[in-house]
Amino acid sequence: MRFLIAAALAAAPLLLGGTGADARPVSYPGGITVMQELDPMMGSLLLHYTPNRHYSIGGRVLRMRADDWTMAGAQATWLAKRWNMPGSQANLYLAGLAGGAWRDGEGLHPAGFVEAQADWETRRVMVMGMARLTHVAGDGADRIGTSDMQMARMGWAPYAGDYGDAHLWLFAQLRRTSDAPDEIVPAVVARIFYRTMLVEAGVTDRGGLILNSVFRF
Amino acid sequence: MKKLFVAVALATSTLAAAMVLAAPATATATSSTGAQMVTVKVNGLVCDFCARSIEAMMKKRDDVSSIHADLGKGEVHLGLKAGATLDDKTLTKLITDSGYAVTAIIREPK
Repeated sequence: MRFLIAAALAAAPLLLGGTGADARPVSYPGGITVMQELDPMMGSLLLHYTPNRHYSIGGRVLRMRADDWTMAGAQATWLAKRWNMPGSQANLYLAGLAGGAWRDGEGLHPAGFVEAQADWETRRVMVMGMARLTHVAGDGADRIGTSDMQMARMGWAPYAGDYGDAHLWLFAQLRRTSDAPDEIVPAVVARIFYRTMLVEAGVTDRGGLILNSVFRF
Repeated sequence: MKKLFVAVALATSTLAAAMVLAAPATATATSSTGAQMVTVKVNGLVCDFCARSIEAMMKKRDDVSSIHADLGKGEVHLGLKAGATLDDKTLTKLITDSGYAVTAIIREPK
């Protein structure tokens, strides 16, 4: 029952039209991508390969910085739907990770997550959101259990850069995790990208650092 | 472990910033003597970072000499090597695999 409630909470932002965090989690056929994320709650490193335009496969390590546990495993991401429109593009991605998790100094437990994310963007406006439901098996003293997280972003580009320019985006971000159920953490994030390199830096309302990057090869 | 993630974040961000500053200017479409220029009109072409997938796909080919995207017009401009041909079906598949929807293909000279 608790799992179902968590699943419903995790899906809520998507049902409300919310959207995602990673920049293009499915690339072009043959593309390799490295994505790194860091915020006060979590750190993550994802390396994925895109066999065709519909999905990517890779490995991911996530560190829950606030709760001192780590999860690692294989991740698959499916581009469920893409809408290509004359002045905009929208995407719906579904992802899953299967692997293991452990608290610092404790044993390994089977673990995984399911995730949905979506985005819509024009050259000047972007809306993104994602929801993730994580489960770690085991009922011992080092129990981690089930948790969910949602994030939503709205972004604006101060200028419409051309092909080959450095592009700047400014985002307002909201993030919630079930580990801190009464807290929705606002943040501002600046994104700059050039060709296939993307860097984000931001700060939460409590002064926490956000530092993300994406490299595509 | 915490320090490791912070270190990775700082290192990758620093590397990205350095690569941005050091990267060469992007290629622009140029017409070689006797070469064909192709304009592909596409839907969904709004993001430079994403549009690089088209460049990556085209760079694998021997018949494409240059590529440029016009994000404002939603166009991809390709220069083909002299004597090279790239038929509409193959071109459409390449653009589709890159993540976009082709609406028209214009060739000069025809």
